[in-house]
Amino acid sequence: MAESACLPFLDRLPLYVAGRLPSSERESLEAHFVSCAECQRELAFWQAVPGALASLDDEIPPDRHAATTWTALQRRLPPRPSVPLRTPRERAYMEIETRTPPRASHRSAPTPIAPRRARRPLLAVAACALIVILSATLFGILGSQSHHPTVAGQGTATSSAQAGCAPSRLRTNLPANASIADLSMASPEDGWAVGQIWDPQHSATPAHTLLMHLQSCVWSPIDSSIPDATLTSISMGSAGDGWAVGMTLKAFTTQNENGTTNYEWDGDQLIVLHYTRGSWQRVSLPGYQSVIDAKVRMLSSTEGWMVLHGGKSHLGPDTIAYAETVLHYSGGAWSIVGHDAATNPSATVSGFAGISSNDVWTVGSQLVGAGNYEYAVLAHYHAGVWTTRTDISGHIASVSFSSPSNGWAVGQMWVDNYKQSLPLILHYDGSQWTSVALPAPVRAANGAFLESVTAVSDSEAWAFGSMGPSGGASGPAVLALHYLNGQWTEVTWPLATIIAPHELVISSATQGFAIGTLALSSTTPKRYMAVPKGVILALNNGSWSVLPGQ
Amino acid sequence: MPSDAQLLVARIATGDEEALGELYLLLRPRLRRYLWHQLDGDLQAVEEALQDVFLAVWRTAGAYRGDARVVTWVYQIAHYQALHARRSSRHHHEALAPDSPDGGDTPDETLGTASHEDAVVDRLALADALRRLSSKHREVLDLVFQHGFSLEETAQILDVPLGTVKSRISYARRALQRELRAPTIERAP
Repeated sequence: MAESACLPFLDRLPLYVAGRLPSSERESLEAHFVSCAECQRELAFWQAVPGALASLDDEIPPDRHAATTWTALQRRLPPRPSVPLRTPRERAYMEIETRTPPRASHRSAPTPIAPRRARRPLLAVAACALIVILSATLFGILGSQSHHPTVAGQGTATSSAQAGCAPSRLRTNLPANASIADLSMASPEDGWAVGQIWDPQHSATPAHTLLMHLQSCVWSPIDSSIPDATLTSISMGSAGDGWAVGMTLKAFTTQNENGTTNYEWDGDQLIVLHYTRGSWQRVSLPGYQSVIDAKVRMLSSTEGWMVLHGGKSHLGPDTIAYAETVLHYSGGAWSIVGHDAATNPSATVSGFAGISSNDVWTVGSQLVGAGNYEYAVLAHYHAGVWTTRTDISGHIASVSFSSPSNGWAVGQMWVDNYKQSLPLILHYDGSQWTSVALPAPVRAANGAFLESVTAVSDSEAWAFGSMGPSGGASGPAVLALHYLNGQWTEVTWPLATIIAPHELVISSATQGFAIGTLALSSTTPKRYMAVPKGVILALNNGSWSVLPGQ
Repeated sequence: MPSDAQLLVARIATGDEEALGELYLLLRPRLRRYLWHQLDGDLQAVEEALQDVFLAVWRTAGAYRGDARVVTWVYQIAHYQALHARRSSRHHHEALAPDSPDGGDTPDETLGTASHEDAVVDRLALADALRRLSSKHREVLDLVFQHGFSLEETAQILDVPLGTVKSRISYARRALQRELRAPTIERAP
């Protein structure tokens, strides 16, 4: 007859032997053992399991096929990059590493697709540790989305009388080790930006938050730093009201082969800041943990949306769900809006755009077949109901509306049975999405993709992305497209040291701001990663520049 | 801050074959052991499954979200590939030990007989009993004891709730106990 007192301990024995029991439980278990022969017998059983499993591994023949399997695998690799990285930040890591010295001249006419690289032989078994210097920016999944506080059919800032700051006056006082993640303009001369400050030379110390204000045409930090945290997104609903979000950071350490400790900073608790009555205040929005990315976009001071990536859904005490959480701000409070991606670990929300009250589009993708196939997802929440379109193979990274009947969505699509990846632009006319032809040769640029779109007005838009690994003679090149008078044209990207432009905000008839990533010099040897640094760009009368002081 | 493996995945997502090769070398030894037991020692099936796993990694590296460890993510893919391979395999050896249900709660009668067991567990007998365990239960023991995954990660790999992982461990114990008491005679294949 089982000793009922033993049952709780018996369940924990395998975890104890596998080293998975927290120390507090270990102590009570060990205290119980001392006097319980039954549990001691069970313990002996479990202690024999690892050895027995290992002895079964001894039956496995020596591995002689590593190289031949690799060769066979190489032959089967489609000549395409896989699903492209989701956000400018993620791509920035790779672009910094692989970029050859940037040329000052304009990018030349796109080169034909490079011939397939010669298959590399299997690498030596001796692992060489990647020695990396990294920023604490997390794997941001949420892509760019145009921020425009007047999206609900009120027209654009082009109707504003102010032209914004004189270009010559604009500059920043960016602190050392700072990186900008997002920005928002409340008016042509009033804006906010968020990000973090982190010194990769002291990676054991986490980042702290950075909040910048555009005042008198200078972007300056304000004294509001939250330690051990980062801010990832900001949106002003009006000149006097706005929201910023981010997360606290917690350390996860691993030991490198050379004995040094590697610090990884994971997103933890959600941080929410509310700007009201002239100051930023921290707001408590409890219950969101393991938040890897957060993005907020306000339509006004009373209406807005937030998407969290990685917040655990509590579907039950034993159920883990790494999910996308969609929150709606209305009536002075944030509340969760159910979304398929909340419980579907194969679904990703990469961007969203609020249209009007309680009306939002989200975009992203859905993996099916154990991740082997990907479908772009456009989901519309309207009158309390989600309707979803998922018939395009590919991924949509960003969506932006200038009015309820003019929207753009961009990304990439798979063609030729997942052998080729082409950039994708879709247009919404108020009732349906249709694919739009890109200018040649962009439309045929294998591996090129778009990540960020801004609908400036019903007749103008910008889209940014990358030509991919095969585009551009000097490495991945920025893909910049401008829409005007019914046509998309490719724009030569003039800033040789800036990649991954995103979050473009048009703040006046002649001015706008965006975030770009500073591509550091490629004299750093391959495999040594530089810290991707987000900087503020200005668009003045069609001319791009990096603001001085960064 | 991304780990080295996460950087490899990020590079793979841009079409970097060299990075795929590095990840392959890094994970092949343990994936091979894992797949060997999942595919009943079929060497060819193991090599094919390894290819399929890294093909899937190649195709979906851009969708890796960084919220699980890279190794957990790759094992998730490997679990599915093994499942797929078993279903389409003609040489399908089903477990010889009774396949216990995951849900429900049967009265725990085993402790009564456990008192008659020797305190020293015969490792050979245990190894033999493990060999006969159903793949569903064997897998959870492998992942937790041999591959160093936490219960949460194991749940992610198997795509089941955490509670199911715990109950599978518990049922594996009972199945092994039955085998140790009265070994099933192996059926001819």
